[in-house]
Amino acid sequence: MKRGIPAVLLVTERFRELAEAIRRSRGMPEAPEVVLPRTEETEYGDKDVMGAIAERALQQVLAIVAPGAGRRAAP
Amino acid sequence: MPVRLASARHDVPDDPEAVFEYALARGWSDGLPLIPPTPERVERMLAATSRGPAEIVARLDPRQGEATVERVAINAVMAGCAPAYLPVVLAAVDAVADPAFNLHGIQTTTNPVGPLLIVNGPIRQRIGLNSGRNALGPGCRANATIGRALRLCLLNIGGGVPGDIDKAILGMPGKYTFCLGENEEESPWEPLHVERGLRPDESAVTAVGAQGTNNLLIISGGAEDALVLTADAMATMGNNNVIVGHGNPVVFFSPGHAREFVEQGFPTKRAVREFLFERSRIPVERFPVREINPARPVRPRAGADGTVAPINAPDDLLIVVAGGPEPYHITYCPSFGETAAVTRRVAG
Repeated sequence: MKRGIPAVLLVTERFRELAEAIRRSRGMPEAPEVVLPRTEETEYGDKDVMGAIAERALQQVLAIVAPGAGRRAAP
Repeated sequence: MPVRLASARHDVPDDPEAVFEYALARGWSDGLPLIPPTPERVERMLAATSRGPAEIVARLDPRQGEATVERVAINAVMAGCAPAYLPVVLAAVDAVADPAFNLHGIQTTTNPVGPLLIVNGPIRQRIGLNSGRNALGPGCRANATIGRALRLCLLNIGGGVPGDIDKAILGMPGKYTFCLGENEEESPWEPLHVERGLRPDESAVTAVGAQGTNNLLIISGGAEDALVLTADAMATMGNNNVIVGHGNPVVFFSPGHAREFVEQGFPTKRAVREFLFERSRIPVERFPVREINPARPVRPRAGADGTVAPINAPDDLLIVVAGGPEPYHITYCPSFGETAAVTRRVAG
């Protein structure tokens, strides 16, 4: 962010306090984040479940870095 | 000339319980009472090093806190260290901050991992560090407080606050303190720090991301039988270093076992390592069908013989001679996996 590169922090639910501490220690308390479900689903889950989580997270990231540029459904 | 201290001062009643409550309320303690770090005590601690109090030893994750010599000294005082221990604590702080150690992961994981400190060289005798009987147990100030000082640094400088940041599911007692010396005097083998490139007359501390201790009762049979049982402990499918395929697990042999190995065909640590590497391999079909960690599957790592090794190569296993003389017990410490052991020379 400080270098002008859009960035969004992806963090699983269990590690939100850690993410907040890191943002503070790096001088970026306002850096945007997208919270993912717990590791059981994001890392150890079924492929379909992880795929759905990834798609949802992508839309959230796009909404932050490029509002209005989210994927549109095919006509 | 008096030392100029930069840290904030706190006025606390001159009462041990009041000091303890004050520290607990601010999250400065590991849960045990602390020695109040008065300016006089911190100055006495700092007199044990030639390094200036403002010098930054390392930045400790996850907070990236500046571990200045002064801050390390304050935590060493609180932990109960004698001033002569400070060079060991400083070297330990430097070691765990090495990126290879992966302090960020170790401080924040759900795993019970904590830094195990193995001290080598003449500093052991100078500070009375126990490398003999009960070296990982209670009773020795140096062992107890050096490990604790590092823990307090990780808490107060690194920000590894249990619950919010340190997400260990259960933790383990070694996260309070986990420090011992190698029993070089009774070992028939090259000491750990020499294996890792230092001279025998130098002192060193080696930090290992260890998950705890697993004891093996071995009071009969010969050297090979003892090593077969050790290999069986290493072949635990759920250990992180098995799942991840990295890291430096540690085996502690008593001087009695080490001598027995030499007498019965294992003249060097290397010979022991090679035997254990071969005998600790796990048939891949023993693993659950579904990968334990789908992101880092074990199955593709199986060799041509269909087995998975708990370490990548024999040299990844650290062997340390420590404890009482009897060839009765062997201790195995699995590794966090995503971490490498780091050795630092102890100054002075």
